Amino acid sequence: MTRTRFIVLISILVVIIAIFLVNIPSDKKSVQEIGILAANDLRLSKVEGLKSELQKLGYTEGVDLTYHVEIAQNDLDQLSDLGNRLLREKPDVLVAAGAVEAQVLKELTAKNKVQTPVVFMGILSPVDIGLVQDLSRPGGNLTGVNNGHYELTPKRLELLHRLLPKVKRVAVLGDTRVPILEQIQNELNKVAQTFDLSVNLYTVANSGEIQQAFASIDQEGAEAIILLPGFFLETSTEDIVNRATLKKLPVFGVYPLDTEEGCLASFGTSNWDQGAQSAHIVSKILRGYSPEDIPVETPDRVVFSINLKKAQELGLQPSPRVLSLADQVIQP
Amino acid sequence: MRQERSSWWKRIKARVLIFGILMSILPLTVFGLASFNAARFYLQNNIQEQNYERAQFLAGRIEDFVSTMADSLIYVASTNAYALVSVESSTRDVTLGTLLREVPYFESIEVADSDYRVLGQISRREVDFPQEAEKKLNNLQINSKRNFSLSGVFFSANNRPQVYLTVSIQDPQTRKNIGYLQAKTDLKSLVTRFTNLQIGKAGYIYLTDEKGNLIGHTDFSRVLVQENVKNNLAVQRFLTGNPSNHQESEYQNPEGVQVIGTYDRVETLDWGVFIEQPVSEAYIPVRQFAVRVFGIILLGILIVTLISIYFGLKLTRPIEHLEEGVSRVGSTENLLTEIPRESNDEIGNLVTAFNRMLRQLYEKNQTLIEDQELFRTVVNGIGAGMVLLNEDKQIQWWNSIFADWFSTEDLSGVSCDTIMQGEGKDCLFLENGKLITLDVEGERRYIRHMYYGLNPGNSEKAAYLLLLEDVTQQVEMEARAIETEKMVAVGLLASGVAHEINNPLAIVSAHSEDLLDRMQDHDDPPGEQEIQRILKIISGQIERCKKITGRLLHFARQKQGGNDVMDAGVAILQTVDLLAYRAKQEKLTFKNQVDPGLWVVGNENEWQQVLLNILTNAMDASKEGKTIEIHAFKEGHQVKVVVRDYGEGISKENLSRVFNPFFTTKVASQGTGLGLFVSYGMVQRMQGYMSIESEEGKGTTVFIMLPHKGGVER
Repeated sequence: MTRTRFIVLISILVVIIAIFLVNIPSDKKSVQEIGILAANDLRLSKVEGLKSELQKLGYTEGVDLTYHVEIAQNDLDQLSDLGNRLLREKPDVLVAAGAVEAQVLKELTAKNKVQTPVVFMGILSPVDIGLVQDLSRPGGNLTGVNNGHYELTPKRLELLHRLLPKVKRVAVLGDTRVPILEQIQNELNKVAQTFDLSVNLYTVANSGEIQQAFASIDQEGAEAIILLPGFFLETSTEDIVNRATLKKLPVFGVYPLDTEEGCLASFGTSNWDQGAQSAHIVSKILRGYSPEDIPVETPDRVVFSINLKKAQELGLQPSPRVLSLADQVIQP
Repeated sequence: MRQERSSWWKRIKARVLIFGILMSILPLTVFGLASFNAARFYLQNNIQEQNYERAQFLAGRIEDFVSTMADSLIYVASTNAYALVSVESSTRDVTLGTLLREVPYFESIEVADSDYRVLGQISRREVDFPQEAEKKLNNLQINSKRNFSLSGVFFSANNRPQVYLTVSIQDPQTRKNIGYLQAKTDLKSLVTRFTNLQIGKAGYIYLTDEKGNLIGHTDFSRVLVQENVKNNLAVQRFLTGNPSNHQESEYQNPEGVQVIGTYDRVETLDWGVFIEQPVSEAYIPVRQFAVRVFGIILLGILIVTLISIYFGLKLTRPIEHLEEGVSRVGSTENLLTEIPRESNDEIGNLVTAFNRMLRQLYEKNQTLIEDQELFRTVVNGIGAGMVLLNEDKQIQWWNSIFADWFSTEDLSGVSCDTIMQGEGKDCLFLENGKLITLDVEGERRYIRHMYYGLNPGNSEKAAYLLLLEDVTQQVEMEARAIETEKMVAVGLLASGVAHEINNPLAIVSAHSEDLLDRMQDHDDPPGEQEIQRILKIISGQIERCKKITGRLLHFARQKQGGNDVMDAGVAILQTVDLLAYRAKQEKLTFKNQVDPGLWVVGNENEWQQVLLNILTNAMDASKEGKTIEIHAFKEGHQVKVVVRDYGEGISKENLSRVFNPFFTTKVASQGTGLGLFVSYGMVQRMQGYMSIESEEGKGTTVFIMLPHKGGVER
């Protein structure tokens, strides 16, 4: 062996070992993937909230996490295909933007016999719609945020009453596809009795039914409308508000966004907040916790929003006592 | 020459390499382990310190959080005291609504008067049904220590941890208590915020109240099932009021996982913040450091080892080349081989010295070859056959004369016994100096057989030198001397015999003449009886002559030199008879005393010649009238013959030379000077010994010792 060969050999060995030493994984952190399924663009706000909060929790997009977002553009039939597309990527966590997405992902994971955790970002009564067994111990591969919109419905009626004490007849618009509609109605009736109100529930599942419902509302002389949570109503808020405005009827919505869209008031958690709150659950799962042990959370923040501009437009004088409670006020 | 290579581990190269590797591994390993231990201690302390700081931070945050909530209430209570407790509800509702709005952690707020009667309430999520009459405010633990009270943690219907925070409403002027303001405070956000703080991957944080009840946990489900954590070592220490201890921070959690844990107390609330992290995870940096240290040590060892190998090989290569060179010299036996010098160090000097030694060896070898040639010339020209034999008497070396005598074939390894077969030709070496005969080119040769022990017991080297000396001339000369001596003796005896025969011949002559005369005298012719008497006399005398000549003939008869068993005494008497006439003439008397049965082995003729020589000498030395005593007897295993005369004796000067050939004190006609020389040789051949004692003027005694036939085995 010549001296040159020897030196070359030593150099190669030193370089190999140096590379080995440098590449010793100081913190074995691979990029984790999150697959997100959303039914429409409205729910992208939840996605923004999720990303923002995960960023705050130390997950940098592109470094620690990658997001794969599939949006169905209100075509619910597409959800299954999009869900399958997400599953093929074998993500670390699947995120459902709402109840319909969560149900699709639950079915797909069960069908494919995979235990990919699914986090739902704010849905209505997950136990009642069969997504989890128990709020404290979900038991399956799903957990997430219960947006509490069912539990908040009686409060909405109370707030409407306190805001417009003169209103006595209230029309409630609900979607029959929401499974707990009957329970909601019972809760509403209890509050209505207490405050001496009359409440009529109208179920709508398409534009035609909205039209019919408004005809009935008009006929029965309802003085205000309360919107119940649900995918269809969520996407039809603008239509309902427009119809109600024509009849000078105030609408009490669900999401803070509803107030911006023309509702007199709304009481509920924002999509962004639901996404942000879900980020903590996603983070736990990424750290190794099993979804079956992560309790379903209720919203940390509920926003009471009032549109004084709309009130003025409708010629209404909201009670100042209640105004002090409002988190958001759209000034005229 | 077969080259023997040592086992690899005995080779210098292997030892140098092993030494180099050991010297690189040992110090680096020791240094690495020491550094690692120091660093591990530092890292472990650091991790524990870090976790403790986190716990402190969280405790501070919780305290701040609760204080902030309380301060909000206190501020509202002090600035809106009258409004809050007034009968008019609108202002109160606005105040409470504003407070609820501004502090998002308040779920509901209630106002009561100084008698705890609830005056008003407002809730964030729940429906505020109209006031029940005489509803009283609960969950009050106001004391002097704090200006607010905090209830125990409880869980709302939707599983949110909550506490009641209560402050008193004081009259701004009188400072009297005029009511209470109580807020149901949601801790979920707080708990979520701190429990989401990442403690590694498997670490977790939990929170207990002052009684050790779990009120917050990274895994919130544990809180919901109200897991009992009071058995946890850290919680037990917390409940005893001890601060967290870094030295005893490792323990098993209730699930049996070894964790390092620390805690801190939330001072104003007496809650405990606990941080626990599995040891396996917490010490990952230590393990990573260990891997790095190991890698660095490995790298160091590798580099030092490679350098050791390089220099080891560089150092040992000249030694190996030297070894190869030496082996080459050994195998080719070419002493002119030159081993190239590769370095200027000690090994280079060694190579030079070796080359010099090789040249000297070559020169010495040349000298040796020349000496050997000289030796061979000498050995081959010495006239004697020489053979070197090993222990087993196999021929190892022989000279040309030996080869000429026996064979021209290769004799190497041939047994000496196979070459020298036949009587007297063995290699037993019992009779050193024995004569053997050989037919060389049809000519009979006498060879003297001698051997010398060289290295007895050494199977490698020649054990014996066998020297075969050609003594043919000497033997023949000796034989001629014996014959001459014998002829002289016969001559001397013959004159005696002639005289001795004269008398009977004279008697025969006289009687025969007398008989003839009387027969011619017819007058008195002899009668038949007379004739018979005379003829008997004549016959008797003739018989006497025959005996006399017979004795002489018996002595003079040439006889081959074979050995027989004989009675030494008989020969003595026969010889005395042979000399009887001369003794009578010289008036000497033989006095014989010869024992019977003196059996010896030898040539009777030679033995008789010995006796004739000795007795003749004795008679020559003795004067008239003297006696010569002959005494033969057995003494032990020896036959001893003593011949003593009382003659003139031998001078001391001559006594030492009597056995030399041609030494005589007699006149030329009387002696040849060979008598005793020949006799001595003959006695020796009979395995005997002969000596002479003499005193000048008094006489001489000759002693002959011969082995008795039964005494000495041949």
